[in-house]
Amino acid sequence: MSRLTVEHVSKQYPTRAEPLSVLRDVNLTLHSGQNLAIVGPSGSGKSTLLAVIGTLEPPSSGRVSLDDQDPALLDEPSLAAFRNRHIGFVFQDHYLLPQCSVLENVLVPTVAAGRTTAEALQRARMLLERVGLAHRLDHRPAELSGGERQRAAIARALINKPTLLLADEPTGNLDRASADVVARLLLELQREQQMMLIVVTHSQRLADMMERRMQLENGVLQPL
Amino acid sequence: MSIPTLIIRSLAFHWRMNCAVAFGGAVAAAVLTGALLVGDSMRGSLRALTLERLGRIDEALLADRFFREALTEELSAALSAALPGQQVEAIPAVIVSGSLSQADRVTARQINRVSIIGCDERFWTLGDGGPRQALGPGQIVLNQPVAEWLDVRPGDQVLLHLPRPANIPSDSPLGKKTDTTRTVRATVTEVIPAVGLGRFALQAAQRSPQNAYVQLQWLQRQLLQPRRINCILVAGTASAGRDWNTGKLLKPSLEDYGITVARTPRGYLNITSDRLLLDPAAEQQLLRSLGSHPIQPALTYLANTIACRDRSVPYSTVTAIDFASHPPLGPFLPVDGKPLLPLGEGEIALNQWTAEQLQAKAGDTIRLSYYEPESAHGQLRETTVEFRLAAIVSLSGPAADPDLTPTVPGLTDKRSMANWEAPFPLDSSRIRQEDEDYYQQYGLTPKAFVSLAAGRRLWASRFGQTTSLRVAADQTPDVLAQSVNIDPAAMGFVFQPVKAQGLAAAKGTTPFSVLFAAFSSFIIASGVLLMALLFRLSLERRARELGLLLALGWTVAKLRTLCIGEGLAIAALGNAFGAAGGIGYAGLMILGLHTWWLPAIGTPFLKLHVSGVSLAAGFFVGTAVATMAIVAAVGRTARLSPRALLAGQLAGWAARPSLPSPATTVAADKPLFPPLIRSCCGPISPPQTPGGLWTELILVLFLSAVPAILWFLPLDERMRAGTFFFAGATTLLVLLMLLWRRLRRGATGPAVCVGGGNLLRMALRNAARNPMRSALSAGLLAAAVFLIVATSAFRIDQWPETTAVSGGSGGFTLVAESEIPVHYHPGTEEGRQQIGFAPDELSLLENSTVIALRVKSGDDASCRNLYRPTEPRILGVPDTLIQRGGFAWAAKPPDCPNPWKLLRQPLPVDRDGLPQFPVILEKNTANYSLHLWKGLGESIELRDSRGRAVRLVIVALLDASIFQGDLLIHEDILLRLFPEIVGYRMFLVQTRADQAAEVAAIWQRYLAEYGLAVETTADRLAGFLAVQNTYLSTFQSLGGLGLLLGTLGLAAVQLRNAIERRGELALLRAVGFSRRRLSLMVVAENALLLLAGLAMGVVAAAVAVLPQWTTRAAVPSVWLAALLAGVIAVGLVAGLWAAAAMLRIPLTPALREEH
Repeated sequence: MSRLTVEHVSKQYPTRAEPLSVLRDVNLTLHSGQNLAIVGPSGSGKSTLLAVIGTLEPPSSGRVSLDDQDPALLDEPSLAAFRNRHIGFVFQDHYLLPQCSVLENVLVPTVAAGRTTAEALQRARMLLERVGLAHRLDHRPAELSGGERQRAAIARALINKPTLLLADEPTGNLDRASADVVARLLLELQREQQMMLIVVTHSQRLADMMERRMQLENGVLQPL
Repeated sequence: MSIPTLIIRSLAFHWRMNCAVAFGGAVAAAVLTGALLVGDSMRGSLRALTLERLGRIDEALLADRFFREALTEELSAALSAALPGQQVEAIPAVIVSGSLSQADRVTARQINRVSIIGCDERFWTLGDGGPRQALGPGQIVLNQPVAEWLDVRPGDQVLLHLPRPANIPSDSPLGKKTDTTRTVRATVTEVIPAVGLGRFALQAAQRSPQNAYVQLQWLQRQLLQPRRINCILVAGTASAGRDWNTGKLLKPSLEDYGITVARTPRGYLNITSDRLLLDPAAEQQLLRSLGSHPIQPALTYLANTIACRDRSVPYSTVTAIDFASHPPLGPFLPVDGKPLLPLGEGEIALNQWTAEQLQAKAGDTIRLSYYEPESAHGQLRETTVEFRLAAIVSLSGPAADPDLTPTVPGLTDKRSMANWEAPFPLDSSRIRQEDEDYYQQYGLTPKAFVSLAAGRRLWASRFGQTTSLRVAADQTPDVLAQSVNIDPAAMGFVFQPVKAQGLAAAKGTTPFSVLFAAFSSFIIASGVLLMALLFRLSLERRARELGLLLALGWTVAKLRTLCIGEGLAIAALGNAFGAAGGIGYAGLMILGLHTWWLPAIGTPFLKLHVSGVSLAAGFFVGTAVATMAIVAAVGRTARLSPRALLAGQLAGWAARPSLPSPATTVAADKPLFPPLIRSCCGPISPPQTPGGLWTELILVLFLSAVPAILWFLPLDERMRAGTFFFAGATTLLVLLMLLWRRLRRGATGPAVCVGGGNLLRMALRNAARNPMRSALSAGLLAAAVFLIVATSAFRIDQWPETTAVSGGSGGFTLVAESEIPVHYHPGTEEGRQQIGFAPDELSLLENSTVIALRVKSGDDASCRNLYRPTEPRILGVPDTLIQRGGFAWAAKPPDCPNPWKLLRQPLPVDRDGLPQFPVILEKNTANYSLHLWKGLGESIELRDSRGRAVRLVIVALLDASIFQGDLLIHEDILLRLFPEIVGYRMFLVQTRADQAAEVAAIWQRYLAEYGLAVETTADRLAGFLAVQNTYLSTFQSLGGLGLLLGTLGLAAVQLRNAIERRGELALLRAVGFSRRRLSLMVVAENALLLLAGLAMGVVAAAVAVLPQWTTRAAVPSVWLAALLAGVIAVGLVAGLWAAAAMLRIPLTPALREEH
């Protein structure tokens, strides 16, 4: 069973005046198969918390560990490999590579690890079929709708079977119907694959679909 | 708010990007302006040098004879009278060419080709740079180049090796062939820099002349020419107007021409020349002037023997004359009292004394032996002719006239034949007492007479046909002399407008503005393309802003006006700075020409000259070109839909209409490189656009066919080179088009495949993200590589066939040139003996083949002289060289194995009645110095020594020859046109390569007094090649600068790509791409474009230089490889820079930013 532990994490950014505290003593634990929604007003530090958990940024203090492994102790290449193997990301903007097809976009994380295997290719096809894009494999992102793009992004996030899936406003750019589809898909896949899922959102509707909900306000994380 | 206001606001708001755009324009304008200024500077500096070396001197007369110094004062007075109120003056000088050596040293250094200038203090008033003190006898002032070469300082002594002026031409039997030089000692009093009159020279050349200045009177004494000079310098006549002719004021007397009029004891006036023979031009004019008087021309010649049967008389003079019947010129009285009939062609009359000595009687055969009137290499050839004795004349009256024989120093001034100082081999054992007695009594009174026609047939030469004109006149000699009118110009007394000629020549042989504009063309193109690229990037960045304006109701035309207006303002600003920056660029080029590229100009004489016209031209042309680039960049943008613009979709995949996806077959493991290669060279999948395959196939077929077709076309070399260069450029364009089409169609292969190498595949796909941008970047590099590689093939470090008879040296190992003519042929046994080589050295020299050439001095028309040549140097090609053949040919008539023989072919007069003669010259001399681009059949007009115009018609062109800068005509024609030329001054030596240094040393040692300089033909060719290679280096260096600029453009594109894709790149990092792999991908994108550019450039260059590569053995492959490696290194550094900039972008903000 996998476990994410966030202990006394703080994050400060230097400014010309005094340092700006974005996260203050954040603590959190999550286990495999659990999902969590983090809500809060704009500027409350939600995305920063997600970046710290996702090892995109180091905490100013405190510790983030995944399966008791502290990624902060890794060097940059090892950290990139850690992220590649254990963490999946879905962002508000899909960040699909416009020059690549949908299938290629899903396979992009495998390129980071080195060789792309036949299994990865099979899994990519499976994932795209699972998110309802089997008929769009060779299409370019420009030819997809917003919902389809986000679903392709979800497939990409899952290609390496991550233990932790982080979604930053995954439905922020979508209409209600598309948002519902994407939200349901995220939850179904999380349950199927017994991942941990953390969703940062403004959307009360999406938050309500999660098992746990927490609020981040002025850098402080509290149960809702 | 108006459009201008909006433009100003935009300019201010986007100032950073605008500065970058302006930078591109500024570079182009700076380079263009700089190139024009280099041309200005070249012309200005050559002009300044002309003004500096001549000071106030406007005209100069440099005669081939010495004349009265007083003529200068007479001219000066005439000038003052003709141009009252103007500061005009005529200054006397003696200018001779000689050599100097260190005195009192065991191994003395020697410097040849020194102008030894005898002058007085008036000379130094003509300009700056004179010595501090007036020169005294035996004192010498050296200019810096001479002093530095000799390593002498004030107080040191030097030896001057001077020519000894001779009146009687040395190529005639009575002319001196030895002892033609004189060495005198002088003390150096001062060394003056080679500025002002310190670089005085009458001929235009940018290299500092080698001058030595001595006191006029002292030099006159050393040359045995007291109060005589050979040069008049005239100052102050430049302002006299176009029609001014100083020559008309010059009134030389007969004495100045070396002509003497004397009344003889017999009562007639005898006109003779100190050159023994009257100059034909002078004779003609004398006859015309004195036509009212009875005139009797006579030609007296020295016979070695007059013989009849077994009796002979040695060393006698024979006069060719048509007997006059009236005093004082006649009558010649026969001893038999019969009337003396005119002598026929084969008849001779002996005087009574000679007839008695020979016991000859009328009807006997008389044999005359004599040396032929013209000699070559000091070799006198004795000829014998037979006459029938027609009459015996009494040794009295006109027949006993010693004045029939002109004065010959060394003979006629000796009391005894035994004391003769004969310049020919004199067998004194043949002189009998009777001969001596005759000489004592009658001097050199002729012992025989032949008809004038017969005498002229035997003894006339290029130096003349008459030794005296005998005039029956009662006038005094002075009165007669004054009544004679000889045109000074016909006697070589011609004032050359040296300053005007120098200023005209300062326009140069090469239009340096055009040359440097061409050299810098790639930088200009790079600058313009960079500007277009950056301006387009700027528009792309502001796509939303433009879309908003369209959405708000602006018309496309109005939007275009706004964009172009903004672009124009930026371009104008950039070009204004650029035009000013052009001064700096020109300064840099001049610095380059003074240092790295010095061989191109020979000496660092350039000074920056800035003209407003060039600045304005640079600005306006630069702005016009920039405008075209901006209009092209704006054109596509304004056509996009407002929605696309509002979505920020201006460039790349997002901006393009939905394209069919590429064949992304990722099921199988595909090889990596074929798609890369095929993406550039051929389709890997069915084309996505209709007709695409056919178009590409046609393009590829065209590429393959063009060189093959050209190869078989019957083109001459220059056309072939030009056509192939054009074919190469076309190939480059086609390749670029293919690349762009491939990128645009997305035909770059799959981005991800099962297996490795996907990073590279992704990089390739990324490179295709913005086809136009990528193709432009690769094209920029490809063009630079094309030009640099293509020109490198023309670089020649050494001619491979230098030593071959069919090469540039003609198989000769050494080339020697002397300042003073050498009369003996060092290639013949007799010549070597006369020169006096030591016996142990003779064996070495006997193995050498030597060909001697006569030289008519003139301007250096080789690539080493930047001035436009007015009168190029002419060489007389002897029959020995014509028979031998050899040398490489750039152009010759078909089926002509030995084009030298064409020099013998007679040519008809031209349409204007000018006589025409064949000439051969080197191709580069014809093309670049004389601007005779058509080659064979073109002609050059020049004037002979009597001022008559003749035309030289090109019959063949030498290729890369040691004769660069010279006109080559047949020796006989040279002597016909310039009869005053005597001796030989150029020697081609064919010897074993391992003995060349030793042979050269011996030559230099024995012929040092002639100012002989020897160099290997390889060195001479290398000297010419150095100039050519330096120009290529200049082009390549500037091409390299352009390449750097192109690489900057590539880096800018990469950086822009990275900024545009910051979200995607951040995502890639988020999904586990390490910084290293991401950097690798970005660098690979850059490298792919770089390699594509390089490959296209190399392929296109290979097509362009195919003729050179197939005909030349050595291709500078190492140099090329190093260059290409350098280009790759610079490109990769640019890519790394872009990657580093990309990695500096923080992750979280990038992922959060709207995209």
